[in-house]
Amino acid sequence: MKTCLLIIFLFSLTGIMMAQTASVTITNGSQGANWNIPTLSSSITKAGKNYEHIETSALNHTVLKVNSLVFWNVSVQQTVSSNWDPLLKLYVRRSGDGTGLVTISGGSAFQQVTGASSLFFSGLLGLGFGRDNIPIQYKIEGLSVLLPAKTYTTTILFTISGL
Amino acid sequence: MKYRAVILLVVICFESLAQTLPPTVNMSIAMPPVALIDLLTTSTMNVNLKVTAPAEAGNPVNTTASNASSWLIFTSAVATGVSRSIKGNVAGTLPPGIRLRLDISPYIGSGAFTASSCFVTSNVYLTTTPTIFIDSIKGAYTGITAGSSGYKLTYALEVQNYASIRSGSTTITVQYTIADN
Repeated sequence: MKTCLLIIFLFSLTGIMMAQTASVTITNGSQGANWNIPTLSSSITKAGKNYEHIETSALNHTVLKVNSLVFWNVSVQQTVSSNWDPLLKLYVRRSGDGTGLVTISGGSAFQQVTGASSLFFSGLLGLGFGRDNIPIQYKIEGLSVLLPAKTYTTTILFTISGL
Repeated sequence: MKYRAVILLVVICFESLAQTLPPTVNMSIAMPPVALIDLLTTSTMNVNLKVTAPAEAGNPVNTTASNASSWLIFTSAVATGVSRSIKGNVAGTLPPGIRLRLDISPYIGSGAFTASSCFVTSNVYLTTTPTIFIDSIKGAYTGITAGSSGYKLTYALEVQNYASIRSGSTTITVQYTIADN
C-alpha cells in the first residue's frame, strides 16, 4: 500500500514537474550559442557607396530542442543593450522542422527580433517527448557607414511557454 | 520491479529539472572604419585651362575660363569621437604669376551623412601644401553618379602676380586625400 502511494505521489510529482518544465535548449553547444562576425562578409570597394549586403548565418547555426507535455510556444526577443544600434535589424527564422513526432508550425520566414518577446514557432502533443534538431538561422540588415565603427553586441533569448 | 519503477520516475524528475534554463545566443558584429575617396567626371579627368591674350591693347589677359566637370565622392565610417577632413594640393609647379582656384559646390545626391557632418569649409587656392576644404566628416557616403552625386569641383585660374606671368604650357596634378583629423 505504501509503495502504491509512493508511486502515485511520484507520478503526480512527475506530471507537475513536466508541466512546469516545458523546455527549449541549444543542442549544438557554444557554436549555437554564439554568432560572432569579426569581419564583415563583404566590404565597400568603391568610394561613394554604402554597404549593400546582409550578414546571414548558416542555415543551422543554432540547433534547438523542445520538450513539452501537450502544447508549447517558443518566443524570441533581443535584450535591450546600449551596445546595439536600432539601425541594425536582427532577424531569425526556423530553417527546418527538425526531428521528432511532435507537430511544429510557424517561424519558417524571417521575422525581426526586437526587445519585446514575440511568438516564434509552436507545437502540439508533446506527450513528454521532444522536437529535436530544429535548425535556426539569423540575419542582420541595416549595415551602414553611418553607424560608428565599433563592435556591436546583443543577446537573443528563446523562451518557451506551454504545458 | 517496484524499485525499478521508483528509480525510473526519480530519473524522469531530475531530467525535467535539468532542462529548465532558457537558451540565449550571444551575437556580435564588428563595423570597421572606412575611408575611400574618388573623383568622377562628366567629361574627362584632364582639365585644360587657358589664359588668353586680350584682343585689344591695354587690356589684361583673360582668365575667366573654368572647368566644372569633376565631382568628388567619398565614403567614410569612423569611431565615435573621430572625424576626418579632405585636403587638396598640387603636385608640380604652377605657372609663375598664376594661382589655381578650387570652388566646392554644396553636396547634392542621394547619399547620407551623420548629422552635423561634412562641412565645406571654403573655396581654396590649391598649392603644394595640402589645404582642407571639407571638414567634420563622420559617417557618410555620397553616392556614385557623376553629375548628380557628390561635391562639384570647379577649377579656375587667377592672376596672382601680373609681372611674373610668362607664356608657355604647364602640366600639374591635383591630389585629394581623406584623413583623420
